[in-house]
Amino acid sequence: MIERIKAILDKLDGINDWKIIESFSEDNEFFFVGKNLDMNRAKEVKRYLVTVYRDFEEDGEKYRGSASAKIHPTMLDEEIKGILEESVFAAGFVKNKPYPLAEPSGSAKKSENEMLKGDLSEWISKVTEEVFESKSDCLNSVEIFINRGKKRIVNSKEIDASFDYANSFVEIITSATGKDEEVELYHQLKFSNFKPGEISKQVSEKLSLTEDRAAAVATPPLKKSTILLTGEPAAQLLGYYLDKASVKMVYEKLSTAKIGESVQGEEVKGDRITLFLDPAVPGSYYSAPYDGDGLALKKEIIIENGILKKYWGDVRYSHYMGVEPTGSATNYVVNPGEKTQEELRADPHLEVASFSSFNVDEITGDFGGEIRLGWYFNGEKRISVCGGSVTGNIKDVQNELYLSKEINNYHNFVGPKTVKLNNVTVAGIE
Amino acid sequence: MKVNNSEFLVLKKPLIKQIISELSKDFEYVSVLGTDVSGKSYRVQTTGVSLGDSMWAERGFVVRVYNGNNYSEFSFNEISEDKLGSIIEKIRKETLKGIEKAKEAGIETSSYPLVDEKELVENFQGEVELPPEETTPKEIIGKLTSIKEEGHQISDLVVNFIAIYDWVKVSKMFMSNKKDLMQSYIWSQGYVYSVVRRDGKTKYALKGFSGLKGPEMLDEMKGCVKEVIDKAVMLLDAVPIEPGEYDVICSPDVAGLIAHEAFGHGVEMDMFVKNRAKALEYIEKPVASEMVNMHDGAASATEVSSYLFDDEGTVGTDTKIIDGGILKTGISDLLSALNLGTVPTGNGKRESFERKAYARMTNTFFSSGKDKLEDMIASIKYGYLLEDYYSGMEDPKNWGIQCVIAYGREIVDGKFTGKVVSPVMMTGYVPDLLKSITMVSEDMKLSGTGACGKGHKEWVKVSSGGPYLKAKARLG
Repeated sequence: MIERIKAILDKLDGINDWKIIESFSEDNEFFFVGKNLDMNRAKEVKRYLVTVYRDFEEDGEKYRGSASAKIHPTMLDEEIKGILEESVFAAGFVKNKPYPLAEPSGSAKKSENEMLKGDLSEWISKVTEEVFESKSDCLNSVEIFINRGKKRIVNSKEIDASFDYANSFVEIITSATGKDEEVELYHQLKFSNFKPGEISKQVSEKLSLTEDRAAAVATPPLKKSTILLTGEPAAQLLGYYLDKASVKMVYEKLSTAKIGESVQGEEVKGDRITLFLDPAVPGSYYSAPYDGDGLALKKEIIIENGILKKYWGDVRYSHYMGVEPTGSATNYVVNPGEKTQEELRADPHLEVASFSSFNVDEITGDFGGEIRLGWYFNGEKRISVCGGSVTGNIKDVQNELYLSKEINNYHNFVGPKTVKLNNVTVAGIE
Repeated sequence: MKVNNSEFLVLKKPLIKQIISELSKDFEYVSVLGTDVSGKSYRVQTTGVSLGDSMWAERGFVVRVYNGNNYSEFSFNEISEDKLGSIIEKIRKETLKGIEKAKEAGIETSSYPLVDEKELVENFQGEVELPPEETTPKEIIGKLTSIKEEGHQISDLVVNFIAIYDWVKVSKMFMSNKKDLMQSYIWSQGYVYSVVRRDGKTKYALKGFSGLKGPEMLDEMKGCVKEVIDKAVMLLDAVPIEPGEYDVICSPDVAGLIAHEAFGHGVEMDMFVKNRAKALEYIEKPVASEMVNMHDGAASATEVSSYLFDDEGTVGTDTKIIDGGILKTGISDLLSALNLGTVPTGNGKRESFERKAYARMTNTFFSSGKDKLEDMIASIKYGYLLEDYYSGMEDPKNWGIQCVIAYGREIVDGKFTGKVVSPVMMTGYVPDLLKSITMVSEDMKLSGTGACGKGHKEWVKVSSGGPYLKAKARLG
């Protein structure tokens, strides 16, 4: 198919460059209600995304326009030609400052993944067995997706990067019975590489959290409190610094981060953040050797001791900002702090492990969410709590931010399991 | 102008019929959903322009078969006459393999009855004032550029001004041994979005547009540039809210968010099957104030999720979910209805042909009442008018609700004080919130921008809305 598209592109007028992304994926899916298999699905799909680039001049200004189009494998040559001609025509009205395409930059390290071998149905059976290994009566429903595929990126500047991938996504709803009613928590597990025992360990942890929610009382109206964010919300909060360092965000004036300056404001009393990109975190669902431009990815330090060392981003926006492209981010790693979770928990605080949905606004720094599971420690006693909300702005609290020594892997994040913040607003239940 | 059906789907229809015919030799029920969705997404902002296919664009098929006990599916996007035999064999093998593996592993399966379909042949072609394919990219980019430029002329505080326009043409075909359905319609959405900065503080505001419309929507967008900038600048002076319970008036979009999160997600009947919905215990019981009426349905309103049939071939309906404060029923996909012994409501929707169908919302809204907005504001001794929202989250099992609202305008003794709080997190127990509703305005509005997820995935197009509602809410 790529050769067919290239042959059509070669004959088009007014085109200066092009890029094709081919992806092939096959998957097996199991949907459980309780322990019963409610539906099984399978999929085999090919996708093509073609971007055409057109250079033009207007009123003495040089521009590079582009337009992207999805090409479906069922399309005949005439239809593809028509779509690409329309794209070239449309690109002539897209007035962007000129920028180059990615060029070959060496091959990237490809990680080993045993899920690339064997039949998908074997892997889905293995994952299913682990999910239901312990206390399966407390699993309300489970969805398991095993996905395998190949991605290839080619462009008119001789990029030809390809890699195979295999990963799994598991959605689990855990339930537990409390004094008045049954409660549940929502969890997602995302991984590549099957590590025996890892899934069942994570499921057990999730079940334990759900039992805590079942025993929870209403969050007290604390107004202002020291907050500990543990697990997923800690990863999401620290993701704010990754977003602020995005060269695209900076170019689009959505971030004011400057290289050589502190990303945590002045007078930092707490831990200073060190953040780097690692495209090859073992077992990460998001690990990939190349980005969407076909640029080979490698480890990159972005923030060191709270100081922005480098923007990260693709070829186009890096060119605009006059910096070397790192390629798009896959995984972000934040160095741990020096205090243990137990030390961070020494003073009265509210610790939250699960929100209905924890939102961090990368433009304004506002964060918050409704508490689904937390623990309140008044200096003497620790009790699980639920309900009410936490809200704040990172800029107001980042000068006293503490990171735990313990590490957590969550989706594309590796870093402190717990983050401590002072003086955060808590709307409890009167 | 009438929207044309997909030539691709019409062309492939005989092959789909052959697939159904062949597979019917092995399976008691076979259906195929074919999709051909096209569209473009335009974005003009201070720093550049982007143009590409819509994120909703797709073309492919999903086959569903009854495997003797429940249902199995296979999604694919390659089909041709010469490969038809191998495609049929692949579907047969892939749908059965999962079931065989489950049996080998000793996994029990849920039992479902066979779909009992009635003969139905229908074709629906929507109308659109201005077909997007007949408007050139030059015209669309030109209009978006003039919106962006107007934004920069209004205020020096604007650091980025963004104008977005997306159009999508949905064409779907549903075939089984008894059904032969085809539909095509066009929807559009747009955003006018302003980012302002003063003394290092950054805020933004946006206004969304949606409907079964074409590029004529660009003229509606043109009229709101100043309003969006004024809101963003207003937020620069906003302060955090003191946490507590307040009398509030929810604007139609916030009311829509409440409807969506509370008794939209809360009554998706696949959640009844999983025992994940508290609503099941409350059917025919009061869950809201007597003045609350709520609907959902592809046929309940004309917005982005108005269609003839859903992704399982069930014709869309108008479901009255809450009637005078009493919870009446839920919204259902086909398989949940089979499981529960109820009638499917035409709410079985897929993110794309690649994904499973779930019970999903369509157009969800509170009905209008009899109150006037000015009387509602005058009735507030101390509280807030809540306007615009960023996001929401459901909790169907435990009836919590999270609404992240852009801002609240303070009201004291029935008058706005000029003080604005932002952002505002509204949380609470859904029946407490809905039972506290004491006034409902006479006007109502629906909006269908963005996308709705189930949990944190499976994005589909929906609309939601309502009138202004006066209630008591926990804000933080």
